[in-house]
Amino acid sequence: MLSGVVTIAAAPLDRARRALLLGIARVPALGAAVVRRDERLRLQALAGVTTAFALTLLCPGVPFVVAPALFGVVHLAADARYLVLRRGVPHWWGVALAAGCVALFALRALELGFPGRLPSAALEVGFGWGWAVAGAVAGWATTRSSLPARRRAAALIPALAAIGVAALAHPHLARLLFAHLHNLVAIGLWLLIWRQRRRFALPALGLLALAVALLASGAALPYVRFDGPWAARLVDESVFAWPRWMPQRTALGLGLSFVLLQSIHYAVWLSFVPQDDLRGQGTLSFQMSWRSLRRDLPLPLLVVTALAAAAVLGASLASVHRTRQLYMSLASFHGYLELAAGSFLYVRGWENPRCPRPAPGSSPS
Amino acid sequence: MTRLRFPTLALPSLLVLTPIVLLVAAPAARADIAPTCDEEASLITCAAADVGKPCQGAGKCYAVSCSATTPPSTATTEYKCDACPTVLTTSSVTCSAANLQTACGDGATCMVLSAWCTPAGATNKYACAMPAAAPPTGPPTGETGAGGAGGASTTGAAGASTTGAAGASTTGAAGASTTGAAGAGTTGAAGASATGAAGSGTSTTGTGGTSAISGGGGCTIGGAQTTAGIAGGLLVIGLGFLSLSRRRRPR
Repeated sequence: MLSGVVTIAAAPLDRARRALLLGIARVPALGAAVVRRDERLRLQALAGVTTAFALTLLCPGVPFVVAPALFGVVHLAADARYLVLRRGVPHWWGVALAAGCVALFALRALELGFPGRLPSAALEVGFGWGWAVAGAVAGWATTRSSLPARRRAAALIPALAAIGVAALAHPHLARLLFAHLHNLVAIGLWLLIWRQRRRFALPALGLLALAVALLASGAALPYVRFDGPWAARLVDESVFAWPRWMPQRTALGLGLSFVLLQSIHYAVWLSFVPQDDLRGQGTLSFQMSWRSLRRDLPLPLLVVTALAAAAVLGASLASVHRTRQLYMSLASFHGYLELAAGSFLYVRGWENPRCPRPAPGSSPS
Repeated sequence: MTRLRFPTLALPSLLVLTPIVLLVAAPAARADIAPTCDEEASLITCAAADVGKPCQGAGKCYAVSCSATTPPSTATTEYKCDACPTVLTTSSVTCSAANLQTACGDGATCMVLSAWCTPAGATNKYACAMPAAAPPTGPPTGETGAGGAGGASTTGAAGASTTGAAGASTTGAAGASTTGAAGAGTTGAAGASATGAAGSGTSTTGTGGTSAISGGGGCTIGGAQTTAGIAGGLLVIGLGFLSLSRRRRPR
């Protein structure tokens, strides 16, 4: 019944989509983007980075506050869908990933419920990086000890363990750093797992690197509009998130680069990865997207995602900062999920054994 | 979905042991007291009753509302020693986020003041200020608890108490207390408390009181056992899922 309702509701959207695509295809400069994925993603990524950078300069508080409210929960579902459910991982590893998510979620909930009573930062950091090590070992185990996998595991496991131990020495700082750096993990995974011809992503990545450098260095600060909505809050949270040794200008620059990278992080999981994960070159209609979603996500997970997304959005209307902070805290497990699932896939091999992708350059479908 | 056989006990054992090994490998981290707010973790904790009193080294004890940042996000109050920057009111430079850390005269720079360092009634938290020369090195001397209530004296020594609150003294020595709150001295020596969890004396200008046992203000956490227990509990959840996943589904 639900599928029927969605299919009916999506029909007019699909008609509008078809008209739009036909219109764009007639424009000589944009026609290739409609039919060729590489061209489309090159343009789309470039436009995405440009827009995110412009928003960060003109109204930094808006993407800081609105993006998690709109895209936060759905991007968590996309994480699970593209890193686990569509990657052909063994069932036991999928369950282990789910258990890790539940454990880290519960740890944050405990921390919120009983503040200051547990060494939560150390527990989280220890568990998270230990989980990543376990991911590498699990990836190695599934390959039945193949030599390349063994080499990759031998390189990755000591590195992850060393970072984990170093993080445990300064757990508060470690999870703050991880909150910033996990945005880059998404971009790295997109390039490694999904983007077959990476040169098409280079223009956007170059612009992103330049924008982050300008923001983080403080060079862009005089051009940032801090009189917009929620900008004062962003300044407070950026400056006082760091220990005293961090210069305030640098802290603010890092806060602004977080806003930019967070937006790109959402774009990666909700647009770039879904397109690159398709076998064909085209894009899916709304009805096809719905059917694909139903195949990938069990109905209970779909319902929970929809309810959680609606709850975050609704609560944001009532108390925007409190909701955002609550979401950011409880959703922190997904950074470690990306790390653990990424470690597994790196060691096992990126390719989905059930569904190998066609070679780059194969004919558009 | 490719369904592989569950690999021996080695993998689940590793899943369980790795986080625990990482935790055990870092004793300093296990002993770390997680504050409510990460960003205030580096500040020295003082007692609620010591708010406004000078901390050792520099600065004062402030009530800090932790609600600002991620993570975590619970709004609670902590009590922290901090040395606030000295605000220059004579500067002609208007400070804002755009000119943070730029010079604004007399060796001062533009900075954002924390909420507890912002002067009462100030509408702008950006200020031209000079950072404090030195950070606090410890909580107010004889930290914890309010000054004694009984046996006050204006010029002489205040009374001592064995189990109750000791007296306060304006110019003389304040009273000592064995188990209760010790007295406060304004210009003289403040009282000492042998076991008072709640109290010890303080002195504004004289010698502060002492306390044998540190009282409130800090976060109470369990030791390594608690940490290991929690880590174990979390992993048991994971193992529960794993064992469930091993059950064959009816075809």
